[in-house]
Amino acid sequence: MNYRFFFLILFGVTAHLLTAQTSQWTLDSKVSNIHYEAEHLLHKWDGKNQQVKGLLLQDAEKQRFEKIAILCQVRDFDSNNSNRDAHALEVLEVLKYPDIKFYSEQITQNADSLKLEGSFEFHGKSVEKTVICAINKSESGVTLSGEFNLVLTDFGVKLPAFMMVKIADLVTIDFQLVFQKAPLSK
Amino acid sequence: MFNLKRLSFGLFLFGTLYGNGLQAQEKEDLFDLMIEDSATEQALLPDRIIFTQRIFWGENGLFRKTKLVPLTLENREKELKLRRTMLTTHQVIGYLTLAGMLAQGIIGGKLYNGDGSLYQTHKTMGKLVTVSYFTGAGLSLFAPPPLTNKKEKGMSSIKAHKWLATIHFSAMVATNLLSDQDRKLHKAAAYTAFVSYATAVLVFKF
Repeated sequence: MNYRFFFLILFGVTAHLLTAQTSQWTLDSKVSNIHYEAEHLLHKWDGKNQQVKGLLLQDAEKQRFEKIAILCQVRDFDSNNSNRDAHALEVLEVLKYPDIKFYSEQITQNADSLKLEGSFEFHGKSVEKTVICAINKSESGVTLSGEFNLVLTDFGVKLPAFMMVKIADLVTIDFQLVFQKAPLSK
Repeated sequence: MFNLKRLSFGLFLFGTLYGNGLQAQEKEDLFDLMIEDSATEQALLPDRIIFTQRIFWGENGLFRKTKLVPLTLENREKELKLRRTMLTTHQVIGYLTLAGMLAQGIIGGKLYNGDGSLYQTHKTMGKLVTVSYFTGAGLSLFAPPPLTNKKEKGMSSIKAHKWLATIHFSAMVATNLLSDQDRKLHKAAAYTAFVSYATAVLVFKF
């Protein structure tokens, strides 16, 4: 009987200690977005994804962010040109690779910035990437914003051509991700 | 005693796993959580499909009904590759047709100015341009549909391209029908076809 009591206490204490250490921040899709800019010899264009999902885990005791996971779907990027978007879905083989993911558990936190060392998964390939972003904490949540470049051919994307000229390999991404301290809504 | 040990070990294991909860969530767990949250079945066909494509490739199209190309994810992947090939060919044939139209305009102009020796050349060139034009049009009209066909607000290059296509398609039909009936109207239809076609090529942007 003593053993049973002892282990029940152990279970309770372990569960309490471990769960109490991590806070979960959930991305607010309504106010967050990921935006890209791409280029062809003849012109530039851009598109936006406003249906981004994300989670940010924080060590509550140390107040440090430990993990971040961002997910969006290729289909949700809108460039205000249906034909172009449809073409992009074909080039990016969206039926086979519908998602774009970023994950990092190497987060260096400074007063007003975060350095995220992680990996991008896109078009069936994974590429290591370091992203520096500004962090803005307020009562309503945490906002991460920044800009970085991606090389499309690193992800095995076959660059589409128009008038026999391929689009630029380099795509600029900027983002604004607003996280709120709440579990992911189901 | 044995049961007590097992129970204690079970409780400890459960407690550890439960306690690890969020902290031990690995990469895949986090993504699974989000994917579950946003799980929606991938749409294989767009909401809007032009009728020439719907006849063959729509949910109840000819290829689906005859089970020649059932509507499956694997088949749609192949269809999209076919679509890309067809549209790239449409683009190349488009440039060739434009060059042919330009040459035909020069030949036609000389013919109208009294150089009768070019009549046969004009006729042959006309046939070539017509075959090239309608082949190019067919490649676009009968290609498998895209994955998405969102409605756009305002003007865009593709909207202009499609509106102009309606004009040059009608003008091309008229040019051919009027070739042996009314020279003046034939000429007017041919110029309309050329101008609207050239504009459609120029306005199209990637």
